[in-house]
Amino acid sequence: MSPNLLPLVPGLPLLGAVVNAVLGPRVPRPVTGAIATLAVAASAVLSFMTLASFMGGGHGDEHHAVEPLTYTLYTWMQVGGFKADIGFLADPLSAVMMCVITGIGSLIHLYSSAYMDDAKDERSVWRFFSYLNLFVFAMLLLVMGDNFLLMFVGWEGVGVCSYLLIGFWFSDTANAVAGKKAFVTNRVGDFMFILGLFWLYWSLGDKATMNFAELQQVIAANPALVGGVGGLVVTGVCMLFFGGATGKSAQIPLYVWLPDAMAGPTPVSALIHAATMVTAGIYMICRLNFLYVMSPMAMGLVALTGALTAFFAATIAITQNDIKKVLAYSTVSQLGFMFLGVGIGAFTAGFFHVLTHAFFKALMFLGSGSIIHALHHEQDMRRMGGLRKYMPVTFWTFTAGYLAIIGFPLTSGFFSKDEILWLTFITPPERVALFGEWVNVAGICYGLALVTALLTAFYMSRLYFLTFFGEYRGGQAHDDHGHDAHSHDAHGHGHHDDHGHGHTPHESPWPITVPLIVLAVLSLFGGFLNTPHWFPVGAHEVLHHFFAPVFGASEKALGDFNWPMVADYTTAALTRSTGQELFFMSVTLILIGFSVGIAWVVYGNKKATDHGVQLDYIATESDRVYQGSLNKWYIDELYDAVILTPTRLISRHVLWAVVDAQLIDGLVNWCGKAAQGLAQGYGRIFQTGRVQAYALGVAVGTFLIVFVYSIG
Amino acid sequence: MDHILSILTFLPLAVGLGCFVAPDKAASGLALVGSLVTLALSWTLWGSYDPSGAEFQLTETIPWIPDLGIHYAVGIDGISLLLILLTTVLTPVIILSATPAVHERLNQYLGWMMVLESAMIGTFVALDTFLFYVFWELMLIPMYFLIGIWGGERRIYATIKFFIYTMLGSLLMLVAVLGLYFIYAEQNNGQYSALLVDLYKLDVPYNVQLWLFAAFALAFAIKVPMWPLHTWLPDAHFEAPTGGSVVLAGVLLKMGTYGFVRYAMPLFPEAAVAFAPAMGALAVIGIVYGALVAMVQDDIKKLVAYSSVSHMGYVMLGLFALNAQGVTGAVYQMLGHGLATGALFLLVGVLYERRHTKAIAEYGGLAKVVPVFAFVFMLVTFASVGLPGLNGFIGEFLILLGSFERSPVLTIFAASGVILGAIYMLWMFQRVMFGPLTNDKNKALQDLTTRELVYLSPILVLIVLMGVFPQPFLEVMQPSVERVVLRLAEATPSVPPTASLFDPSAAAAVEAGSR
Repeated sequence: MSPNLLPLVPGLPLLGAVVNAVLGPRVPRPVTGAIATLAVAASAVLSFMTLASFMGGGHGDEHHAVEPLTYTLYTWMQVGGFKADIGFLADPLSAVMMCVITGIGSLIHLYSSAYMDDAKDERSVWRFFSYLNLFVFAMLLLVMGDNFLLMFVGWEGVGVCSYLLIGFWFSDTANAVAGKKAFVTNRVGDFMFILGLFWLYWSLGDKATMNFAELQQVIAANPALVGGVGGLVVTGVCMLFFGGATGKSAQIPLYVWLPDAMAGPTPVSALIHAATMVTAGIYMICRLNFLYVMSPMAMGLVALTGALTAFFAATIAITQNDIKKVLAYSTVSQLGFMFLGVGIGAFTAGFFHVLTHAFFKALMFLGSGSIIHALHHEQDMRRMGGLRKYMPVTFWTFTAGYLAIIGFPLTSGFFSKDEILWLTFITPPERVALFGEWVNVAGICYGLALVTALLTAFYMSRLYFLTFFGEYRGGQAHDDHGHDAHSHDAHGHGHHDDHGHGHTPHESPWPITVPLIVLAVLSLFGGFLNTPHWFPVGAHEVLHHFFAPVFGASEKALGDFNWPMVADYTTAALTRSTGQELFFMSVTLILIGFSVGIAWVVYGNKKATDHGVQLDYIATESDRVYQGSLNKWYIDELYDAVILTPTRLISRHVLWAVVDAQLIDGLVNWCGKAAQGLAQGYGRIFQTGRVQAYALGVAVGTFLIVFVYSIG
Repeated sequence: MDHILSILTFLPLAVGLGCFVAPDKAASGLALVGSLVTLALSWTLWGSYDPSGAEFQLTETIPWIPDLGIHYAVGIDGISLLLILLTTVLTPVIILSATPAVHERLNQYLGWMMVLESAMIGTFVALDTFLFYVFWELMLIPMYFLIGIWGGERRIYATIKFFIYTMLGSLLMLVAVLGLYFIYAEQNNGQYSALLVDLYKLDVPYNVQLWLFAAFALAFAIKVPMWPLHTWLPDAHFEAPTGGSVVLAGVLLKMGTYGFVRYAMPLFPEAAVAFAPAMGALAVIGIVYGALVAMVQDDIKKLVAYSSVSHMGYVMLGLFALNAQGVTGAVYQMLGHGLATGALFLLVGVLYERRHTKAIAEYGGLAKVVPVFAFVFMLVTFASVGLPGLNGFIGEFLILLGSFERSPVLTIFAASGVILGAIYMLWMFQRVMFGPLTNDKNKALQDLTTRELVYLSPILVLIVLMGVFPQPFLEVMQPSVERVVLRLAEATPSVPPTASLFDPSAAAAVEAGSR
């Protein structure tokens, strides 16, 4: 593809956003949806053309003949030695990401045109599509920017779109609060990100650049600028960038916004808060792989944070009752897996999980949206059940997503998750030496990841069984309709419009089911894009070869330790390692099978109950651990008590009330009074209170002084 | 046109005087046409100014008091050019916004506003320290009346406070101006000159520099305002009418930072370098303090006023980064803050006109009733929080980039203001625009009128344009900024300021010149 077409990839969704904003409510809703969907679909065509242009090189060929495509629109700003262009870069990494964004983006736009159909406030649909297109634009800038600054534009841009879309139904304060929380939490990450950027920039001296390709060359030629391998600068910079990623990609300690972000319409949750935006942090680390491999400490931080987040989020997901909350914590957990992957230096494996997760998590969010849509905005799983009978397409497609996320053999999630687990297991501790030689971070990560895989199988089974199996529990007991305002997605919607409650759920229309089917196919078979070397069929490690131009150098630089797929690995070692890998995989699978079995015993096939609420047979309401998990381990409350409330109180009662009003103003007023007292002694002749007189006095005085001095 | 700068300076004054004698209706027409002509004339400067040329261009130098070496000297460089454009863009906007809002003595209001424009342009073009001082003082008078006559309930307290603060600074500056004047005479055989180009060539002794810098700095710091000299600003804004707030935040605060970059820093480079850590620290305190106090305000105008303290702290931080990125960012932030905060005050004015309250608690859920207003308000809010793609980001980013070279620690604190900025702005926005529409008085709120859209649109266009295409603006000021930075780079103070402030030779040097 000609690089001249690159600006059109983000340009078309931007155009769509502008067109819808200008036309506004003047055009019918289907047209609004069509404009937005077509804009992203056209961009998707260009993205796939871009991807295709990188698919020439044969397997085993480490470096493809095709160079990255670049296109510079104009110089954005240039001050002193600092320069940033509006320039685009398409290489295998960004091309895949572009396809994910626009491909899944098109499907979700199509889905939205039906999902948003029952919005009561007809006038707002154009606003929704305008924001959604704007999001795709910003996300593409993030991915395609050829320099840090343009990436940062996208980085903050997606944050704004996320803010706007989470708070889309702004009449409910809770939604607006969730949007603001997302934006502010992300800003904390962005704060670290720009500090990392500044540090990196100034440490490069006169070779400073913002351009990724140039930066890679500069560092390759002068590693000493950033302190060499394990140097202070590169470690600090990488940690700060990762700090930025913990905001955008919802990791400890900044993950708290993502579950609340579920207040947005469900298609938004699928596109932004599952498939694309939240993976930006992993993408960024992949883009900067040449920096990260220079710092084992930073790699260790990434891996350990990822593993801890994966585990921690899973412990919350197991007790949530809101279907979207379970999926949200599951997303946080899966993002942790991805960070674990890139943190141990398995960039391809980490990114592979980005890809497969985009398929199956978008699918499950859209599936949950289909359910929520059919049940008139019911999100509580305790009032679902038995839906497989009523919504067959949703059920079967959701099944595909469910199998993928628990790692059922041969599904996409099986391949990607297993690769991360296995590579973590064989990661040498010195590669992720966060705490020097004292702690085996890789070992801890593997343990956490394995337990997380089991927890994942358990809580996803819980969700799956509670929703689709047993009998429908939604038709009754609506008096105790305990709506949690935070979790509610429905505001601005016709809550009780044509159907009323107590009806039978029904399958959703085709714009909803078609994206589900496409994503289900991808979730089931997407793993064959990158099958392990020992696997009889599929494209062996094709992704790994495909990404070789991006990750190849870094993977080589990781030195004495080689992944099995690196060419110079000996056959004997490969065979031994394969045997081990298969053994561990089997053990994992058996454990996952146990998890599913337990979940089936507890939650599967339960009959409808009169109370319909207490379905967590595994624990009682009074159980402390259960309450802790249900209340998200009180982290929000902790942040509030330790950071937010004290800041607010000090600002109001100390800074404003004391420093400003009493100290500074007190002094000023005292001076005023003193001057007044002094002036009264002098008589009132000069105190006419007229400013002109004062000003005249000043002017005359000035010239008098000048005059006197010039004579003297 | 040979006298373009003089015409630009005095045309608004003539129009203003005309407004005083005209009836309201004619005065508003006159003021609008006058300010638009001024705007058109000022844009011709963009064409006639050559960024790569001499330091000051389009100069006019006429002896004013020849014996005393005082001149009517005007001229522009890239920095003042941009600030003049900011002034001439905002003035017609204010004139347009005043007509339905000001009910009493409209002609005088407009008259004072035009006189103020004259004084502001004069301050930016002046190249003689005495001329500068005259225009500087002249700005006070219209502002005094704008707040004192058309202000809120406590307007007298606010004006007096504003006046006392500013006069205190001005008097110190006058002393410093005179000091400099005499030092010139001493070094040039009794020849007097107040011309900036002459004074730039002076070799002022280090310890004298410290004193003179301190005097100038105090005057300018009050105007900026820097913490802890900021407490006049929230009161002045709270009481000022909309137009007064717009011009105050939009242009008048920039006089302080402009004073630093035009006078205090290049005239006393060694002192500027020596004081840079202290100035940087005060700037950062201002950023964080302003943001924290803005967060807990219950009144929209006070919130925006404290946000100005925070944003102007960025400008000061950038200036005292003493490098190209920092100073460029600072000038860009002056423009960015002028536009965004000006627009915020206009929007608050729109609300105030309809509901006669600025209390945040009185609002809520407005986005549903006034969607166009909501869109505009949101865009300006995002510009104010420094969202990339809008103008606020360029300045903030360059400032922080520049200051990181000088002091990473200060920059960390300063950058935390980016988080706080998002908190107070978005929280305010949420409380005003989102949530349920509970207050009955807001249910029939009128959306932006065509007139309001017309006067807001130039600001909105510039907010986007300057965010997406900053380079033309950066290029215009680049050589001028580099001259300042170069002058500072060549200066290396030998001893820390506290050690030599009380060196008795300082007074002696001034005294020698005065004889």
